[in-house]
Amino acid sequence: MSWKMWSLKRSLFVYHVNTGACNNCDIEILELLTPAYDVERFGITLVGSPRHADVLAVTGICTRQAAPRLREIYQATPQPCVVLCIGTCALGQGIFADTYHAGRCVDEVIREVDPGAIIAYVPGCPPKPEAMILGVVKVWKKLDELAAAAKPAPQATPVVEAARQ
Amino acid sequence: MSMNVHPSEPTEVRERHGFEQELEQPLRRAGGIRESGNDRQATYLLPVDRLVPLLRTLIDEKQGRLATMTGIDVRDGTELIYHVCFDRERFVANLKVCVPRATDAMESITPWLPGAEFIEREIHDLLGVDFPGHPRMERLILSDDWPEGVYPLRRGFRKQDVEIAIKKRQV
Amino acid sequence: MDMGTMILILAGGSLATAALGLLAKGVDRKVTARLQWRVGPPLYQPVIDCVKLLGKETVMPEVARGTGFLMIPLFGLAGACLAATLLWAMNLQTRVGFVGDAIVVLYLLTIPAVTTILGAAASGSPHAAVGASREAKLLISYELPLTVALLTAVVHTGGSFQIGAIVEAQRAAGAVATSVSGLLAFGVAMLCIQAKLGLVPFDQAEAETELMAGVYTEYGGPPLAVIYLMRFMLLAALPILLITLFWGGVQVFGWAGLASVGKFAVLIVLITLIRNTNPRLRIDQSLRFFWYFVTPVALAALAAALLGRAWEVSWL
Repeated sequence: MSWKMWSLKRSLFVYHVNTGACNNCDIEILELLTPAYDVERFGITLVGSPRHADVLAVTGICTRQAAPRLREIYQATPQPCVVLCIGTCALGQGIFADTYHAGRCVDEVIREVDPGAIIAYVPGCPPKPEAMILGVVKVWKKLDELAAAAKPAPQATPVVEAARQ
Repeated sequence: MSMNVHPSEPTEVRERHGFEQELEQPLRRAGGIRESGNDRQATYLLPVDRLVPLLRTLIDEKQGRLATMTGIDVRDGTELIYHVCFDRERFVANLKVCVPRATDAMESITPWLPGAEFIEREIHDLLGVDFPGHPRMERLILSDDWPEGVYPLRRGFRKQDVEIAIKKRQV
Repeated sequence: MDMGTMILILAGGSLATAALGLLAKGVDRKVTARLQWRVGPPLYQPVIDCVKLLGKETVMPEVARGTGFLMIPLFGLAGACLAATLLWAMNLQTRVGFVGDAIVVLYLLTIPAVTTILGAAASGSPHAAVGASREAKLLISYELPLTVALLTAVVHTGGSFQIGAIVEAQRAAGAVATSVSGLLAFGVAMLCIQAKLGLVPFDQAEAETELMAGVYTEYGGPPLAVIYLMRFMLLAALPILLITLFWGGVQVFGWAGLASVGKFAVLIVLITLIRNTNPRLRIDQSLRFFWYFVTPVALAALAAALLGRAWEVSWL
């Protein structure tokens, strides 16, 4: 596995984006940093700017007001980055889908900007911290898959070529 | 005076009624009618043009505090309720006015009560009531691309109207 | 001394300081976690953080001044490397050096703070602008007491501005911190380096919960790795500066070497403890703190050292 993926898995900087949530999921995200679950021992920390982040933890239904801002935040996050949609609202807007201020869903807005974005979904209202940790594990497995798929097939070295001739 | 007294208990009723007596005089001057209430709160209906002087009296002289304003769309206008809390006496006066659909305007109280600025902007965004005299009537809680003239909390609002109005504006 | 040896010495000093700084930051995070009843990340976590940042793409805001924005962190790193290498050299070989090199080291150690301000200004972001103005205010408040503390150490050890001479005097007559003026100056210097490192209670420039990431908001990827490395190197260099001036100097071999490691660990834990038990001050509160409390204490320490020199009293 390349050193980039190896270090990325062991040091995930998370930036939390609230696109119109009731704050329930936001509190549960902070719970992951408390001594009961303590995800900092895996290298996961909260950072203050999307430019420092590897993971965007998005909560909320993505209101019409928040949509252009979410697009800009995603574009400001350096690749490789992952979007973690946390809570029923971030998955498909839940019971608020027909309200007057609900535009397009979080993943539709992100795919407008980057059709190949990696998006992980954590259901729940709010999701239990164990479910969020399972989301992070799924992200790790997906990053492994991508690293394995991107690795080129081993090529014959010039020494071997010379010996063959 | 414990806060957990059930409203139907007869204790302290006389003191509460005592405070309502204090409000009766300014209310009568403003032409207000008591619609409903108990010893903790009461709702009064007022004519549109008499509300602001009464509000000034309640807030400046009777130590009232404007908690918030709420509104609902009725067929021939918008009903706005100003919730005034009297914390020391533990009483809430709800002052109701009916803003007619023809004008859709209510005098702004922001010039002398700066805290009402955001409340009036929100009501303007959602219910379409104008507040002449407001120093900064801009979009507050609806998105920047929300079309004018479409008010979500009005009866008959359909979510499609938003997209239709945006397309019409672009054309 | 030819170019090759100089580059070798610079590289050696920088690598040693970088390794020590990464370890010190790991200890800081571990101790923070333990103080909060958590387990905390492994000690080598800062290494993984920097490596990961080197593997990400560089993003820049459109309004930023490109070349300056990317070059400025490198200047800050260079300043930290130079200062750290000088400190190592003066401690290990006390004869090498020149009169006034203590001033040079102090001057080089201000370069990271200045480049932080310039980088924040170059990024064109309002968060960074507020952070930069706060960093500038902090800079003018903690530099004076730090210089006065240095002067106290200089006066106490006989008046030479050469770091090697200060270290030799401490080895002969006892550490500066064992005297009244030295202890006061040591306390003053501890507070000043807490502000220099940008740690709570003086981290208004970064101010995570108020200003997004403050001065570092618009940096991402490899430039951020350079900035992290610069801050970790300062975390190693500044305690070494304190030990050099006040606590007998750093040695590498033998029992004295072990004692130096112990002194360094004590300072790091002290910094972490201060960081975790205090709230962040407002910028005007920290200005007032440094100008009205810390500077008078530093001046009192200097006066005590001068009196001690004049009246031949060794414990002053």
